Amino acid sequence: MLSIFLASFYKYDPFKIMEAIYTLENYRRFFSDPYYIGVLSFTLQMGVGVAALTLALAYPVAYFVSRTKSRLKSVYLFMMLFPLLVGPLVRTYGWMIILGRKGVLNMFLSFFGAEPVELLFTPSAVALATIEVMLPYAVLPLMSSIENIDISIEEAAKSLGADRLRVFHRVLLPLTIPGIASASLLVFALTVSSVITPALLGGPSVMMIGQLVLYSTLWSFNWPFAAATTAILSAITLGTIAIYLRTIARATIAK
Amino acid sequence: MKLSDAVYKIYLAAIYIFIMGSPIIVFAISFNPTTSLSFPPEGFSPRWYEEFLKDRIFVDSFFRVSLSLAIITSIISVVLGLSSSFVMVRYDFHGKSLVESFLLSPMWMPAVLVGLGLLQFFVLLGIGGSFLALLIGHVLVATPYASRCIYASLHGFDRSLEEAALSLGADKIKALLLVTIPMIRPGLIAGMLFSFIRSFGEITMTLFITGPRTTTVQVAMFTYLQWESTPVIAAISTVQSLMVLGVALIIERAIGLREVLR
Repeated sequence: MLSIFLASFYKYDPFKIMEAIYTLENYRRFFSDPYYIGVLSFTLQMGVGVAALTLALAYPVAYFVSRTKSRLKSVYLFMMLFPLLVGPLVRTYGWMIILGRKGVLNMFLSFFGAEPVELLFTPSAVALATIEVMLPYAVLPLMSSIENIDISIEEAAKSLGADRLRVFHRVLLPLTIPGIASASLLVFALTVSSVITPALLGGPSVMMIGQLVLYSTLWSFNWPFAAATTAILSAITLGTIAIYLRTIARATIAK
Repeated sequence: MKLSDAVYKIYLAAIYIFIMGSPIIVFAISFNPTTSLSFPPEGFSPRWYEEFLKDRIFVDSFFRVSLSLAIITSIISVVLGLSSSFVMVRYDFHGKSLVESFLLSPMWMPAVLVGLGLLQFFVLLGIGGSFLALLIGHVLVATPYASRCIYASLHGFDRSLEEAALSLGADKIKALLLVTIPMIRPGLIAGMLFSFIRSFGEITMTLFITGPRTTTVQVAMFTYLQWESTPVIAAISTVQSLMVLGVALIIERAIGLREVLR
Protein backbone atom coordinates (compact mmCIF):
# COMPACT_ATOMS: atom_id res chain seq x y z
CA MET A 1 0.00 0.00 0.00
CA LEU A 2 2.82 2.30 0.88
CA SER A 3 4.59 1.38 -2.33
CA ILE A 4 1.53 2.58 -4.27
CA PHE A 5 1.74 5.88 -2.51
CA LEU A 6 5.44 6.23 -3.29
CA ALA A 7 5.07 5.05 -6.85
CA SER A 8 2.43 7.66 -7.48
CA PHE A 9 5.18 10.25 -7.23
CA TYR A 10 7.51 8.43 -9.61
CA LYS A 11 8.26 9.63 -13.07
CA TYR A 12 6.86 7.67 -15.99
CA ASP A 13 9.50 6.38 -18.36
CA PRO A 14 8.35 4.58 -21.51
CA PHE A 15 11.30 2.18 -21.33
CA LYS A 16 11.63 1.41 -17.68
CA ILE A 17 7.98 1.90 -16.66
CA MET A 18 9.06 3.52 -13.41
CA GLU A 19 11.93 5.68 -12.40
CA ALA A 20 12.57 6.58 -8.80
CA ILE A 21 12.50 10.30 -9.38
CA TYR A 22 9.94 12.03 -7.26
CA THR A 23 7.55 14.29 -9.04
CA LEU A 24 4.03 15.63 -8.67
CA GLU A 25 3.58 15.24 -12.41
CA ASN A 26 1.11 12.34 -12.15
CA TYR A 27 -1.23 14.22 -9.89
CA ARG A 28 -0.85 17.39 -11.94
CA ARG A 29 -1.73 15.43 -15.05
CA PHE A 30 -4.83 14.03 -13.40
CA PHE A 31 -6.14 17.28 -12.03
CA SER A 32 -5.29 19.46 -15.02
CA ASP A 33 -6.93 17.31 -17.67
CA PRO A 34 -10.67 17.96 -17.99
CA TYR A 35 -11.11 14.36 -19.16
CA TYR A 36 -9.84 12.92 -15.87
CA ILE A 37 -11.76 15.48 -13.86
CA GLY A 38 -14.81 14.36 -15.80
CA VAL A 39 -14.12 10.70 -14.99
CA LEU A 40 -13.71 11.56 -11.31
CA SER A 41 -16.91 13.57 -11.10
CA PHE A 42 -18.84 10.95 -13.07
CA THR A 43 -17.58 8.28 -10.67
CA LEU A 44 -18.65 10.31 -7.66
CA GLN A 45 -22.06 11.02 -9.16
CA MET A 46 -22.48 7.34 -9.92
CA GLY A 47 -21.54 6.47 -6.34
CA VAL A 48 -24.04 8.89 -4.82
CA GLY A 49 -26.81 8.02 -7.26
CA VAL A 50 -26.39 4.26 -6.96
CA ALA A 51 -26.16 4.46 -3.16
CA ALA A 52 -29.36 6.49 -2.90
CA LEU A 53 -31.36 4.31 -5.27
CA THR A 54 -30.04 1.06 -3.81
CA LEU A 55 -30.97 2.17 -0.31
CA ALA A 56 -34.48 3.14 -1.36
CA LEU A 57 -34.98 -0.19 -3.12
CA ALA A 58 -33.35 -2.27 -0.38
CA TYR A 59 -35.16 -0.87 2.64
CA PRO A 60 -38.58 -2.47 2.04
CA VAL A 61 -36.91 -5.79 1.23
CA ALA A 62 -34.78 -5.67 4.37
CA TYR A 63 -37.88 -4.89 6.39
CA PHE A 64 -39.75 -7.78 4.87
CA VAL A 65 -36.99 -10.35 5.41
CA SER A 66 -36.37 -9.18 8.99
CA ARG A 67 -40.00 -9.19 10.04
CA THR A 68 -41.54 -12.07 8.13
CA LYS A 69 -42.75 -14.96 10.21
CA SER A 70 -42.89 -17.21 7.20
CA ARG A 71 -41.17 -20.59 7.30
CA LEU A 72 -39.47 -19.49 4.10
CA LYS A 73 -37.57 -16.68 5.82
CA SER A 74 -34.20 -18.34 5.35
CA VAL A 75 -35.05 -19.08 1.72
CA TYR A 76 -35.83 -15.40 1.09
CA LEU A 77 -32.54 -14.43 2.68
CA PHE A 78 -30.64 -17.07 0.74
CA MET A 79 -32.13 -15.90 -2.55
CA MET A 80 -31.01 -12.38 -1.73
CA LEU A 81 -27.45 -13.33 -0.80
CA PHE A 82 -26.72 -16.08 -3.29
CA PRO A 83 -26.07 -13.79 -6.30
CA LEU A 84 -23.40 -12.06 -4.24
CA LEU A 85 -21.38 -15.25 -4.21
CA VAL A 86 -21.46 -15.98 -7.91
CA GLY A 87 -19.00 -13.20 -8.67
CA PRO A 88 -19.25 -9.89 -10.48
CA LEU A 89 -18.34 -11.19 -13.92
CA VAL A 90 -21.18 -13.68 -14.24
CA ARG A 91 -23.72 -11.19 -12.94
CA THR A 92 -22.56 -8.47 -15.30
CA TYR A 93 -22.68 -10.94 -18.16
CA GLY A 94 -26.34 -11.55 -17.36
CA TRP A 95 -26.99 -7.86 -17.80
CA MET A 96 -25.12 -7.84 -21.11
CA ILE A 97 -27.66 -10.37 -22.33
CA ILE A 98 -30.64 -8.56 -20.89
CA LEU A 99 -29.67 -5.16 -22.23
CA GLY A 100 -28.18 -6.30 -25.55
CA ARG A 101 -29.64 -5.55 -28.97
CA LYS A 102 -31.60 -8.80 -29.07
CA GLY A 103 -31.91 -8.95 -25.31
CA VAL A 104 -34.90 -9.48 -23.10
CA LEU A 105 -35.66 -5.80 -22.71
CA ASN A 106 -35.63 -5.10 -26.43
CA MET A 107 -37.75 -8.16 -27.08
CA PHE A 108 -40.19 -6.81 -24.56
CA LEU A 109 -40.17 -3.39 -26.23
CA SER A 110 -40.62 -4.79 -29.72
CA PHE A 111 -43.60 -6.74 -28.43
CA PHE A 112 -45.24 -3.35 -28.02
CA GLY A 113 -44.04 -2.29 -31.45
CA ALA A 114 -41.20 -0.08 -30.25
CA GLU A 115 -37.91 0.19 -32.11
CA PRO A 116 -34.97 -1.67 -30.57
CA VAL A 117 -32.79 0.69 -28.58
CA GLU A 118 -29.10 0.50 -27.82
CA LEU A 119 -29.00 0.12 -24.07
CA LEU A 120 -25.51 -1.25 -23.68
CA PHE A 121 -22.64 1.20 -23.27
CA THR A 122 -24.78 3.83 -21.60
CA PRO A 123 -24.45 5.19 -18.05
CA SER A 124 -27.95 3.88 -17.26
CA ALA A 125 -26.89 0.32 -18.11
CA VAL A 126 -23.94 0.58 -15.74
CA ALA A 127 -26.12 2.12 -13.02
CA LEU A 128 -28.84 -0.52 -13.36
CA ALA A 129 -26.44 -3.45 -13.14
CA THR A 130 -24.48 -1.87 -10.30
CA ILE A 131 -27.66 -1.36 -8.29
CA GLU A 132 -28.49 -5.04 -8.73
CA VAL A 133 -25.00 -6.07 -7.65
CA MET A 134 -25.14 -3.76 -4.60
CA LEU A 135 -28.63 -4.62 -3.32
CA PRO A 136 -27.56 -7.51 -1.05
CA TYR A 137 -24.77 -5.39 0.44
CA ALA A 138 -27.36 -2.81 1.44
CA VAL A 139 -29.94 -5.31 2.68
CA LEU A 140 -27.63 -6.90 5.26
CA PRO A 141 -26.77 -3.84 7.43
CA LEU A 142 -30.36 -2.63 7.15
CA MET A 143 -31.62 -6.00 8.36
CA SER A 144 -29.40 -6.04 11.43
CA SER A 145 -30.55 -2.56 12.30
CA ILE A 146 -34.26 -3.36 11.81
CA GLU A 147 -33.98 -6.56 13.81
CA ASN A 148 -32.54 -4.57 16.69
CA ILE A 149 -35.80 -2.68 17.08
CA ASP A 150 -38.24 -4.36 19.39
CA ILE A 151 -41.34 -5.14 17.32
CA SER A 152 -43.55 -4.01 20.20
CA ILE A 153 -42.48 -0.42 19.56
CA GLU A 154 -43.96 -0.65 16.08
CA GLU A 155 -47.07 -2.33 17.41
CA ALA A 156 -47.48 0.37 20.03
CA ALA A 157 -47.33 3.05 17.35
CA LYS A 158 -49.86 1.14 15.24
CA SER A 159 -52.24 0.62 18.14
CA LEU A 160 -52.05 4.32 18.84
CA GLY A 161 -53.46 4.90 15.36
CA ALA A 162 -50.39 5.44 13.18
CA ASP A 163 -50.64 4.08 9.66
CA ARG A 164 -47.78 2.22 7.99
CA LEU A 165 -46.24 5.32 6.44
CA ARG A 166 -46.27 7.13 9.76
CA VAL A 167 -44.74 4.17 11.57
CA PHE A 168 -41.96 4.17 9.02
CA HIS A 169 -41.43 7.91 9.13
CA ARG A 170 -41.69 8.40 12.89
CA VAL A 171 -40.43 5.10 14.33
CA LEU A 172 -38.43 2.97 11.89
CA LEU A 173 -36.53 5.67 10.06
CA PRO A 174 -35.08 7.44 13.13
CA LEU A 175 -34.18 4.15 14.80
CA THR A 176 -32.46 2.64 11.78
CA ILE A 177 -30.26 5.62 10.93
CA PRO A 178 -27.03 3.76 11.83
CA GLY A 179 -28.01 0.92 9.49
CA ILE A 180 -28.91 3.34 6.74
CA ALA A 181 -25.61 5.16 7.17
CA SER A 182 -23.47 2.05 7.07
CA ALA A 183 -25.39 0.56 4.14
CA SER A 184 -25.16 3.70 2.03
CA LEU A 185 -21.49 4.31 2.80
CA LEU A 186 -20.61 0.71 1.96
CA VAL A 187 -22.52 0.86 -1.33
CA PHE A 188 -20.89 4.19 -2.17
CA ALA A 189 -17.39 2.87 -1.46
CA LEU A 190 -17.97 -0.29 -3.48
CA THR A 191 -19.55 1.58 -6.39
CA VAL A 192 -16.80 4.17 -6.82
CA SER A 193 -14.21 1.40 -6.92
CA SER A 194 -16.09 -0.93 -9.26
CA VAL A 195 -14.28 -1.99 -12.41
CA ILE A 196 -15.86 -5.02 -14.08
CA THR A 197 -19.40 -3.73 -14.46
CA PRO A 198 -18.47 -0.37 -16.03
CA ALA A 199 -15.82 -2.04 -18.20
CA LEU A 200 -18.24 -4.54 -19.73
CA LEU A 201 -21.48 -2.57 -19.77
CA GLY A 202 -20.09 0.90 -20.24
CA GLY A 203 -17.10 0.31 -22.46
CA PRO A 204 -14.72 3.16 -23.21
CA SER A 205 -17.60 5.65 -23.46
CA VAL A 206 -18.58 5.27 -19.81
CA MET A 207 -15.31 5.57 -17.92
CA MET A 208 -15.06 5.22 -14.17
CA ILE A 209 -11.97 5.73 -12.09
CA GLY A 210 -11.37 2.01 -11.44
CA GLN A 211 -11.31 1.29 -15.18
CA LEU A 212 -8.82 4.10 -15.60
CA VAL A 213 -6.45 2.35 -13.19
CA LEU A 214 -6.87 -0.98 -14.98
CA TYR A 215 -6.30 0.44 -18.46
CA SER A 216 -3.32 2.58 -17.54
CA THR A 217 -1.71 -0.42 -15.85
CA LEU A 218 -2.40 -3.11 -18.43
CA TRP A 219 -2.60 -1.21 -21.69
CA SER A 220 -0.41 1.85 -21.45
CA PHE A 221 1.91 0.49 -18.73
CA ASN A 222 1.96 3.87 -17.05
CA TRP A 223 2.23 2.51 -13.54
CA PRO A 224 3.03 5.79 -11.80
CA PHE A 225 -0.08 7.36 -13.24
CA ALA A 226 -2.12 4.30 -12.31
CA ALA A 227 -0.72 4.55 -8.81
CA ALA A 228 -1.67 8.22 -8.55
CA THR A 229 -5.19 7.40 -9.75
CA THR A 230 -5.41 4.56 -7.22
CA ALA A 231 -4.25 6.90 -4.47
CA ILE A 232 -7.05 9.34 -5.36
CA LEU A 233 -9.61 6.51 -5.40
CA SER A 234 -8.32 5.11 -2.11
CA ALA A 235 -8.48 8.55 -0.53
CA ILE A 236 -12.18 8.64 -1.41
CA THR A 237 -12.93 5.15 -0.03
CA LEU A 238 -10.79 5.56 3.07
CA GLY A 239 -12.48 8.90 3.71
CA THR A 240 -15.81 7.08 3.47
CA ILE A 241 -14.67 4.47 5.99
CA ALA A 242 -13.52 7.21 8.36
CA ILE A 243 -16.97 8.80 8.19
CA TYR A 244 -18.51 5.37 8.67
CA LEU A 245 -16.48 4.62 11.79
CA ARG A 246 -17.33 8.03 13.23
CA THR A 247 -21.05 7.50 12.65
CA ILE A 248 -20.84 4.16 14.43
CA ALA A 249 -18.94 5.73 17.32
CA ARG A 250 -21.52 8.50 17.60
CA ALA A 251 -24.38 6.03 17.46
CA THR A 252 -22.86 4.00 20.29
CA ILE A 253 -22.39 7.11 22.41
CA ALA A 254 -25.98 8.14 21.74
CA LYS A 255 -27.14 4.79 23.03
CA MET B 1 -56.13 -7.87 2.02
CA LYS B 2 -55.64 -4.16 1.83
CA LEU B 3 -54.43 -2.43 -1.31
CA SER B 4 -51.19 -1.33 0.33
CA ASP B 5 -50.37 -4.94 1.21
CA ALA B 6 -50.86 -5.96 -2.40
CA VAL B 7 -48.62 -3.16 -3.64
CA TYR B 8 -45.96 -4.18 -1.13
CA LYS B 9 -46.09 -7.81 -2.24
CA ILE B 10 -45.84 -6.88 -5.91
CA TYR B 11 -42.87 -4.67 -5.09
CA LEU B 12 -41.09 -7.49 -3.26
CA ALA B 13 -41.73 -9.91 -6.11
CA ALA B 14 -40.33 -7.36 -8.57
CA ILE B 15 -37.15 -6.96 -6.53
CA TYR B 16 -36.65 -10.71 -6.40
CA ILE B 17 -37.14 -10.95 -10.14
CA PHE B 18 -34.61 -8.13 -10.53
CA ILE B 19 -32.08 -10.02 -8.40
CA MET B 20 -32.67 -13.53 -9.70
CA GLY B 21 -33.44 -12.50 -13.29
CA SER B 22 -29.93 -12.32 -14.68
CA PRO B 23 -28.73 -15.76 -13.49
CA ILE B 24 -31.92 -17.36 -14.79
CA ILE B 25 -31.53 -15.70 -18.19
CA VAL B 26 -27.88 -16.79 -18.38
CA PHE B 27 -29.02 -20.32 -17.59
CA ALA B 28 -31.63 -20.22 -20.37
CA ILE B 29 -29.28 -18.72 -22.96
CA SER B 30 -26.64 -21.38 -22.29
CA PHE B 31 -28.87 -23.97 -23.98
CA ASN B 32 -29.45 -21.85 -27.05
CA PRO B 33 -28.52 -23.79 -30.21
CA THR B 34 -27.48 -20.68 -32.18
CA THR B 35 -24.79 -18.06 -31.73
CA SER B 36 -27.25 -15.31 -30.94
CA LEU B 37 -27.97 -14.07 -27.45
CA SER B 38 -31.67 -13.62 -28.17
CA PHE B 39 -34.25 -14.40 -25.57
CA PRO B 40 -36.24 -16.64 -25.35
CA PRO B 41 -33.77 -19.29 -26.61
CA GLU B 42 -34.48 -20.71 -30.04
CA GLY B 43 -34.31 -24.31 -28.91
CA PHE B 44 -32.53 -26.65 -26.58
CA SER B 45 -29.07 -27.99 -27.20
CA PRO B 46 -25.93 -28.76 -25.20
CA ARG B 47 -23.86 -27.25 -28.02
CA TRP B 48 -22.21 -24.51 -25.96
CA TYR B 49 -21.24 -26.92 -23.22
CA GLU B 50 -19.47 -29.02 -25.85
CA GLU B 51 -17.80 -25.90 -27.24
CA PHE B 52 -16.64 -25.05 -23.74
CA LEU B 53 -15.07 -28.47 -23.27
CA LYS B 54 -13.45 -28.30 -26.72
CA ASP B 55 -11.92 -24.88 -26.13
CA ARG B 56 -8.35 -25.30 -24.89
CA ILE B 57 -8.12 -21.84 -23.33
CA PHE B 58 -11.33 -22.11 -21.33
CA VAL B 59 -10.80 -25.70 -20.19
CA ASP B 60 -7.24 -24.95 -19.18
CA SER B 61 -8.16 -21.79 -17.27
CA PHE B 62 -11.19 -23.37 -15.61
CA PHE B 63 -9.71 -26.66 -14.46
CA ARG B 64 -5.96 -26.25 -14.37
CA VAL B 65 -5.77 -22.68 -13.09
CA SER B 66 -8.99 -21.57 -11.38
CA LEU B 67 -10.08 -24.80 -9.78
CA SER B 68 -6.69 -25.80 -8.39
CA LEU B 69 -6.02 -22.21 -7.33
CA ALA B 70 -9.31 -22.07 -5.45
CA ILE B 71 -8.69 -25.42 -3.74
CA ILE B 72 -5.16 -24.54 -2.59
CA THR B 73 -6.31 -21.06 -1.56
CA SER B 74 -9.12 -22.48 0.56
CA ILE B 75 -6.80 -24.84 2.41
CA ILE B 76 -4.20 -22.16 3.17
CA SER B 77 -6.88 -19.63 4.12
CA VAL B 78 -8.44 -21.99 6.64
CA VAL B 79 -5.08 -22.66 8.30
CA LEU B 80 -4.31 -18.93 8.45
CA GLY B 81 -7.88 -18.13 9.49
CA LEU B 82 -7.82 -20.70 12.27
CA SER B 83 -4.55 -19.43 13.72
CA SER B 84 -5.54 -15.77 13.48
CA SER B 85 -8.95 -16.43 15.04
CA PHE B 86 -7.29 -18.32 17.88
CA VAL B 87 -5.11 -15.32 18.63
CA MET B 88 -8.09 -12.97 18.34
CA VAL B 89 -10.38 -14.92 20.61
CA ARG B 90 -7.90 -16.14 23.21
CA TYR B 91 -5.40 -13.35 23.64
CA ASP B 92 -5.44 -9.66 24.38
CA PHE B 93 -2.82 -7.42 22.87
CA HIS B 94 -2.20 -3.84 21.97
CA GLY B 95 -4.04 -2.70 18.85
CA LYS B 96 -6.24 -5.77 18.86
CA SER B 97 -9.38 -3.93 17.78
CA LEU B 98 -7.53 -2.42 14.81
CA VAL B 99 -6.30 -5.81 13.61
CA GLU B 100 -9.72 -7.23 14.28
CA SER B 101 -11.56 -4.66 12.19
CA PHE B 102 -8.98 -5.06 9.43
CA LEU B 103 -9.39 -8.85 9.40
CA LEU B 104 -13.13 -8.74 9.57
CA SER B 105 -13.97 -6.04 7.05
CA PRO B 106 -12.27 -7.02 3.81
CA MET B 107 -14.96 -5.59 1.57
CA TRP B 108 -13.86 -2.00 2.02
CA MET B 109 -10.45 -2.35 0.38
CA PRO B 110 -10.62 -1.26 -3.28
CA ALA B 111 -9.62 -4.23 -5.43
CA VAL B 112 -7.56 -2.04 -7.77
CA LEU B 113 -5.46 -0.89 -4.81
CA VAL B 114 -4.71 -4.47 -3.79
CA GLY B 115 -4.14 -5.50 -7.41
CA LEU B 116 -1.74 -2.73 -8.33
CA GLY B 117 0.12 -3.00 -5.03
CA LEU B 118 0.62 -6.73 -5.47
CA LEU B 119 1.68 -6.30 -9.09
CA GLN B 120 4.50 -3.95 -8.09
CA PHE B 121 5.45 -6.20 -5.21
CA PHE B 122 5.60 -9.32 -7.39
CA VAL B 123 7.59 -7.62 -10.13
CA LEU B 124 10.05 -6.47 -7.49
CA LEU B 125 10.35 -10.04 -6.23
CA GLY B 126 10.64 -11.36 -9.77
CA ILE B 127 7.63 -13.67 -9.50
CA GLY B 128 5.23 -11.59 -11.61
CA GLY B 129 2.68 -13.66 -13.51
CA SER B 130 3.51 -16.91 -11.73
CA PHE B 131 1.08 -19.29 -10.08
CA LEU B 132 2.68 -18.47 -6.73
CA ALA B 133 1.92 -14.77 -7.22
CA LEU B 134 -1.69 -15.59 -8.02
CA LEU B 135 -1.90 -17.82 -4.96
CA ILE B 136 -0.53 -15.15 -2.61
CA GLY B 137 -3.04 -12.63 -3.95
CA HIS B 138 -5.97 -15.00 -3.59
CA VAL B 139 -4.99 -16.10 -0.09
CA LEU B 140 -4.78 -12.42 0.88
CA VAL B 141 -8.29 -11.76 -0.38
CA ALA B 142 -9.90 -14.97 0.89
CA THR B 143 -8.38 -15.29 4.37
CA PRO B 144 -10.52 -12.56 6.00
CA TYR B 145 -13.65 -14.47 5.01
CA ALA B 146 -12.27 -17.73 6.38
CA SER B 147 -11.27 -15.98 9.60
CA ARG B 148 -14.74 -14.58 9.94
CA CYS B 149 -16.40 -18.00 9.75
CA ILE B 150 -13.95 -19.58 12.16
CA TYR B 151 -13.97 -16.59 14.48
CA ALA B 152 -17.75 -16.87 14.79
CA SER B 153 -17.66 -20.54 15.80
CA LEU B 154 -14.64 -20.16 18.06
CA HIS B 155 -16.30 -17.26 19.82
CA GLY B 156 -19.31 -19.38 20.69
CA PHE B 157 -17.18 -22.33 21.77
CA ASP B 158 -17.35 -23.16 25.46
CA ARG B 159 -13.75 -23.20 26.66
CA SER B 160 -14.51 -25.32 29.69
CA LEU B 161 -14.83 -28.33 27.37
CA GLU B 162 -11.22 -27.89 26.38
CA GLU B 163 -10.23 -27.43 30.01
CA ALA B 164 -12.08 -30.60 30.92
CA ALA B 165 -10.08 -32.50 28.32
CA LEU B 166 -6.85 -31.03 29.69
CA SER B 167 -7.73 -31.95 33.27
CA LEU B 168 -8.57 -35.49 32.16
CA GLY B 169 -5.02 -35.93 30.97
CA ALA B 170 -5.04 -34.84 27.34
CA ASP B 171 -2.11 -32.72 26.26
CA LYS B 172 -2.71 -29.43 24.44
CA ILE B 173 -2.41 -30.87 20.96
CA LYS B 174 -4.74 -33.74 21.76
CA ALA B 175 -7.30 -31.36 23.24
CA LEU B 176 -7.12 -29.20 20.15
CA LEU B 177 -7.46 -32.07 17.70
CA LEU B 178 -10.03 -34.14 19.58
CA VAL B 179 -12.18 -31.49 21.24
CA THR B 180 -11.79 -27.99 19.81
CA ILE B 181 -11.45 -28.78 16.11
CA PRO B 182 -14.46 -31.15 15.98
CA MET B 183 -16.57 -28.61 17.88
CA ILE B 184 -15.84 -25.78 15.46
CA ARG B 185 -16.05 -27.98 12.39
CA PRO B 186 -19.03 -26.13 10.89
CA GLY B 187 -17.03 -22.90 10.98
CA LEU B 188 -14.02 -24.58 9.40
CA ILE B 189 -16.08 -26.10 6.61
CA ALA B 190 -17.87 -22.83 5.93
CA GLY B 191 -14.59 -20.92 5.99
CA MET B 192 -12.97 -23.31 3.56
CA LEU B 193 -15.90 -23.28 1.15
CA PHE B 194 -16.28 -19.54 1.33
CA SER B 195 -12.63 -18.94 0.49
CA PHE B 196 -13.05 -21.40 -2.34
CA ILE B 197 -15.86 -19.45 -4.00
CA ARG B 198 -14.28 -16.12 -3.19
CA SER B 199 -11.13 -17.22 -4.97
CA PHE B 200 -12.98 -18.77 -7.89
CA GLY B 201 -15.08 -15.67 -8.56
CA GLU B 202 -12.34 -13.11 -7.91
CA ILE B 203 -11.56 -11.02 -10.97
CA THR B 204 -10.66 -7.36 -10.45
CA MET B 205 -7.54 -7.93 -8.39
CA THR B 206 -6.62 -10.98 -10.49
CA LEU B 207 -6.63 -8.94 -13.71
CA PHE B 208 -3.58 -7.09 -12.43
CA ILE B 209 -1.49 -10.06 -11.40
CA THR B 210 -2.43 -12.69 -13.94
CA GLY B 211 0.10 -13.91 -16.49
CA PRO B 212 -0.14 -15.70 -19.84
CA ARG B 213 0.25 -19.15 -18.26
CA THR B 214 -1.87 -18.32 -15.25
CA THR B 215 -5.10 -16.98 -16.69
CA THR B 216 -8.02 -17.75 -14.41
CA VAL B 217 -11.33 -18.56 -16.04
CA GLN B 218 -12.80 -15.23 -14.88
CA VAL B 219 -10.01 -13.35 -16.64
CA ALA B 220 -10.36 -15.55 -19.73
CA MET B 221 -14.08 -14.79 -19.91
CA PHE B 222 -13.50 -11.08 -19.34
CA THR B 223 -10.94 -10.93 -22.14
CA TYR B 224 -13.23 -12.90 -24.44
CA LEU B 225 -16.18 -10.60 -23.71
CA GLN B 226 -14.15 -7.55 -24.69
CA TRP B 227 -14.15 -8.78 -28.28
CA GLU B 228 -17.07 -11.10 -28.85
CA SER B 229 -20.00 -12.58 -27.08
CA THR B 230 -21.38 -16.05 -27.69
CA PRO B 231 -23.41 -18.34 -25.41
CA VAL B 232 -20.22 -20.24 -24.55
CA ILE B 233 -19.78 -17.69 -21.76
CA ALA B 234 -23.30 -18.47 -20.62
CA ALA B 235 -22.42 -22.17 -20.46
CA ILE B 236 -19.31 -21.55 -18.36
CA SER B 237 -21.24 -19.10 -16.17
CA THR B 238 -23.93 -21.70 -15.58
CA VAL B 239 -21.42 -24.36 -14.57
CA GLN B 240 -19.86 -21.83 -12.20
CA SER B 241 -23.22 -20.69 -10.78
CA LEU B 242 -24.36 -24.25 -10.10
CA MET B 243 -21.08 -25.04 -8.40
CA VAL B 244 -21.39 -21.91 -6.24
CA LEU B 245 -25.04 -22.74 -5.50
CA GLY B 246 -24.07 -26.14 -4.16
CA VAL B 247 -21.30 -24.69 -2.05
CA ALA B 248 -23.54 -21.87 -0.77
CA LEU B 249 -26.18 -24.37 0.33
CA ILE B 250 -23.59 -26.24 2.40
CA ILE B 251 -22.37 -22.98 3.99
CA GLU B 252 -25.96 -22.00 4.74
CA ARG B 253 -26.48 -25.31 6.54
CA ALA B 254 -23.14 -25.15 8.35
CA ILE B 255 -23.26 -21.66 9.85
CA GLY B 256 -25.54 -19.48 7.70
CA LEU B 257 -24.51 -17.22 4.86
CA ARG B 258 -25.36 -14.12 6.81
CA GLU B 259 -22.72 -14.88 9.41
CA VAL B 260 -20.02 -14.72 6.74
CA LEU B 261 -21.17 -11.73 4.76
CA ARG B 262 -22.05 -9.40 7.57
